[in-house]
Amino acid sequence: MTHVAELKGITKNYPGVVALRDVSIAIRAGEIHGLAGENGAGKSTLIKILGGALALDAGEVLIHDQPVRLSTPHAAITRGISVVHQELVSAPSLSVAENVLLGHLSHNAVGGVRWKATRERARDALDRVGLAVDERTEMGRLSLGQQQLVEIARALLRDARVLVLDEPSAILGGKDLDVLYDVVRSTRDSGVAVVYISHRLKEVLSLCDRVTVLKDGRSQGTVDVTDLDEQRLVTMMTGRQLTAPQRPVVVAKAETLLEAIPTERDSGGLKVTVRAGEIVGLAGLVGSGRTEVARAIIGAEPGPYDVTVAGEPFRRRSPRAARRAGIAYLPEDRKDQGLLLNRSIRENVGLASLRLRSIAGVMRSRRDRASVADLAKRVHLKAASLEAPPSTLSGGNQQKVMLARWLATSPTVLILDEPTRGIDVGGKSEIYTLMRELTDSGRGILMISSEIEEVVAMSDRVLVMNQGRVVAEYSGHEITEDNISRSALLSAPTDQGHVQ
Amino acid sequence: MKISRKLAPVLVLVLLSATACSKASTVSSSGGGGSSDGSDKLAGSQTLQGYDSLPFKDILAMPEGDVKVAGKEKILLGFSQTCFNHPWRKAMLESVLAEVKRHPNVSVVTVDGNCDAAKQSNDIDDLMARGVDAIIMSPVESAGLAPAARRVMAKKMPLVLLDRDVPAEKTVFIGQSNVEMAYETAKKMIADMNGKGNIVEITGLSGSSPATDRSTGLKKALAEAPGMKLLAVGDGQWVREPAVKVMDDWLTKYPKIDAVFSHAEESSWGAMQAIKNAGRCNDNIKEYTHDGSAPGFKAVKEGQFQADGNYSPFIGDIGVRAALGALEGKPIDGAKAYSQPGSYLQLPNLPLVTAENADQWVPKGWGTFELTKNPCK
Amino acid sequence: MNEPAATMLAKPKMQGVRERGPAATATMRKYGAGVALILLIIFSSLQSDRFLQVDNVLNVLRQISIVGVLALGMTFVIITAGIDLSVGSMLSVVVVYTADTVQTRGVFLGVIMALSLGCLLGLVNGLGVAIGRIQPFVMTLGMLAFAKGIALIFTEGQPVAITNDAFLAFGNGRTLGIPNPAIVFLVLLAVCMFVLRGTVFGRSVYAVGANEEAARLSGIPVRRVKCAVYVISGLMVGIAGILYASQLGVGTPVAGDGKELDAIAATVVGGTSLFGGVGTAGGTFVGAAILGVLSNILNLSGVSPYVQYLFRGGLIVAAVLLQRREGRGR
Repeated sequence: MTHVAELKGITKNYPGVVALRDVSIAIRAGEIHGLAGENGAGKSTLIKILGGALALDAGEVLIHDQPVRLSTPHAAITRGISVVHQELVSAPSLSVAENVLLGHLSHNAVGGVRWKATRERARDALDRVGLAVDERTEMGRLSLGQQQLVEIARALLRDARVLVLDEPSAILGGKDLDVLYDVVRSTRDSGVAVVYISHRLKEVLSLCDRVTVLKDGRSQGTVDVTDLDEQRLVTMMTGRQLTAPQRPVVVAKAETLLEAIPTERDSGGLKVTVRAGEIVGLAGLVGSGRTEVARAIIGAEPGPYDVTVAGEPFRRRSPRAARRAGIAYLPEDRKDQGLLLNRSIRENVGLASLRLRSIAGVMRSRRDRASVADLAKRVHLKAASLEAPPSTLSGGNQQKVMLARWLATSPTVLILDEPTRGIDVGGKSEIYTLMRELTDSGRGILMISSEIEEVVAMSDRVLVMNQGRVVAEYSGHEITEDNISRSALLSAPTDQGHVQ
Repeated sequence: MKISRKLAPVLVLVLLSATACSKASTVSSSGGGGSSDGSDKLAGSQTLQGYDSLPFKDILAMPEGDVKVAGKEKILLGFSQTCFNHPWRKAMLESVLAEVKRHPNVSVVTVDGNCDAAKQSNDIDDLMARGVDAIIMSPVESAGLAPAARRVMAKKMPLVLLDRDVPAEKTVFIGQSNVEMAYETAKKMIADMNGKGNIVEITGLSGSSPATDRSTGLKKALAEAPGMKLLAVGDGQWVREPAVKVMDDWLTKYPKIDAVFSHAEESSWGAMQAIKNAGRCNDNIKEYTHDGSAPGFKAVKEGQFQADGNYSPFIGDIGVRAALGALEGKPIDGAKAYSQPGSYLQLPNLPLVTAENADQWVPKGWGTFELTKNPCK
Repeated sequence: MNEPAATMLAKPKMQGVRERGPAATATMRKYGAGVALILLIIFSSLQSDRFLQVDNVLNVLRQISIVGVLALGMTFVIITAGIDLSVGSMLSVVVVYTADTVQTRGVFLGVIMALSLGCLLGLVNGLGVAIGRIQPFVMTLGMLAFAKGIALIFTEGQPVAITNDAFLAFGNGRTLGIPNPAIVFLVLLAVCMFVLRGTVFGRSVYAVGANEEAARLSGIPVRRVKCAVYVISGLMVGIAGILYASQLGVGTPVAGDGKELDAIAATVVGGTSLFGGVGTAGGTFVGAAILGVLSNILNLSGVSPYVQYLFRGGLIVAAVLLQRREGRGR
């Protein structure tokens, strides 16, 4: 049987690490081929090799059974392999049409852009992915889901025979996901091979036709999804079973640590409260205003809330004041808002507690090192050296760096924005365990999450946001995926993708 | 450091007022009023000791009093200066004003080109729009101001160029020769050393035309004196600090340097500083320099400089007389046709200032700043 | 059956170029400038036997002290991903006011004038950047022109000569055989190394430059830090102004022309990234030394001033190439 693309015996070494060892994967036309594995399993490396962004050390790439050398991304594209990366690479200030046709604008003899033809070609491509936005819209005004569709449209326009989607669902929620799934399926039905990388087990099982699982740089084999269930998939990926720690019984009348009450001019929403010892899930679609609530509470941006911390009004809000008041905020975008990527792990961990490591402004370097090492141990950080930059860490360990940074400030309330985004199954379990340890010691956690399973599994109470307001609160046995989804979607606008 | 929003504008104001209260106001223009109000603006700096000390007052000499031009009661001249970043440039303006002051019905508008050819080109247009009768310009740059010169000539207006030429039609270009001045200085140096010795050259800003010309003059003289050895050439950029650095390094490298030939007095002072730093004051390294400032002449008199090339900024008065003469319809005595369009009035070389004649030249030098101390004393 | 193809496709040469480990990158960043300096020194000592003479080495130290001090201030600013284009013009202002004050009111007030004027001008930059949220490039470009104007207006273009012996003796004297300006530079170097590496403020400077939003969310007073680095840059200008005036005995309104570029060059050659978050005071010293040694050896070798510009330009690019791959991962 001929394969539209085949990787054979791929081996890739990084200094001191074998990223991939003898991995083979064959992709058929008209299938959705899942690529699953924990972070660090080698998925990204494999995709980079297929996309021409990385040279391989051993092995070969075959396109329609012909060995090829994909030495640059451009070479891959001309051979029909298009990769849509996790970090979208669009030009936000250009129009959607220009983004779709980036590098392929229609032009006349002297190089002038033929705008009409450009727009028509863009329109066709957008229709193929069912994106009903005006092609003249500025790219930056689109939701993340819509931007993703634009990226896919661009790939399809280049006559991709293999479309590689690198964790497309990681940044999407709710309706955007359904749209994405539809597009992926219709792309497959048009004969294109889709390579779909994901952490979401359910998604892999429901969307893909076959799945190749990677673990520690080796292939665990390619399996038809019909032969798989969630447990088996997890076992293949980790050798472990997925468990969320047992939810303890919360003392109902525990002390209220944090309260954010909508101001009068913004009435209609419910208040956000966090009590000692509980994890409060803050659910809702992407763009429903969850992050904005968090940022308003810590004073990173103005927001229509009156905040009290442990009963005291918290008026002159700023991230600095919030830290002093005992609130920790771990942003959803670790790279852009959390980590100092070119500074050491030690400096990253110490960032929020410099005063504690110093006397009169002078750092006490021995104490600094010792206390960072302590914190790293507390969060079970796995790092070769604390002097290395955090870019050398996996997503899960990067999140632990963030946790360690804030644990150093002895917070009473932690606001975790998408704490497990981009983190593999094993890392997730560890983060969940840490969260439970924190609440067990009397702290409160407000957890913002797009993954409903996570919200249901972890939360003692759930608040659901819809269009900028907290519209529902569930606790105990009311916490179900159904309830949460309904509150999140109800009366949300129906035109696809427009969740913002 | 708590800095409130309110403080910011206050601080800016403090800065602004500090500036405004400094020594004197800027020299930009003397309005269209009487001839005297231009010189009043210069009350703070009295480089010029009086009309009689102008070195070229006898060229195109003109009697005091009203200038009679057919159909005009009052005459307005425009003076476009390169920029006022150097006292030499201000001294030129003083000589312009000194001449204007002698003619009650003549006044002058001065504009500052900010050392920017484009700005100066616009300045020329502004002057014409303002209705001046003639334009005197010391151009920032030759080629860049040719179109502006053509616009002036197209209006049949006298155009007098000072110090630097422009490759376009003009009434007259009045200038001294940097090549010949440097040649004279170099000849004096060679004579002092009996035609034998090691010298170093510190140039003005590399690539600027006076620096190129002064180097040419030196080379011409050295070609005639085979016993002289030019050890090294360095860029002193007309100022002190870079000269210290190159001289530092040369003193390290060369055990015997007999003289420093510098394009500018400031760089000579820098070289002396380096000699002091290197502990070589007793080497008796001679200094030959150029600029012709009053403090420079004093230094010659005191023996710190052996000679100072006399490149006088006091040529503005000739420019005014040439412009007024052209308006009166008189020919310009001594102006000759030359390789460029228009005519050229080459000024006689002023005598090189040495120990013999320094006394008589100190009052005729430009600049009011204080004499730098001899670092070796 | 895979074997032959596998060997064929394995290109050991390529991997080295395309993916160098983060460790190697960090090492080059840390020591690249130092390696360049050592190579240059070896080359220079082969080129001229006078190069390693004590007096010549001390000369170079004295020569780099003014730009070096400016570059130390610049290092703080550039680590926060800012830039200070105004140091040259501010230096001119400081130098002329200091010269005048030393002449009319004595050395003590002259020094006070230099330091406070430097801080004040730096503060205006800092407020503009931190509170006015003006881009550093634009704010300091404005200050460049503004300060130049102040210097020219104050002096009317005339140089101000300094005749105070005590003041001149400082700039040109030596202590324990070492030129005083070099001592000032080395002391400031030590202070800056300590502040950047060993204080809360220094760590905050790196954090603001590495990721401003992360620093803000972690409770770092970002605006205060940003303002402070420009004040530090201004303070360094004040100190450099004292060195200039007392070394050269004159205050001219063109004293600092172009010095901002020398300072930026020394900083960048020393391994500080214009993208922010990376750089050390020690590196800046090495950068200033590289540029100083280069011009020294070119003079010692009698290279024409025209050609010296080529070497200088080439060296700046080469030194930065040695520390490749900056700003990755942002």
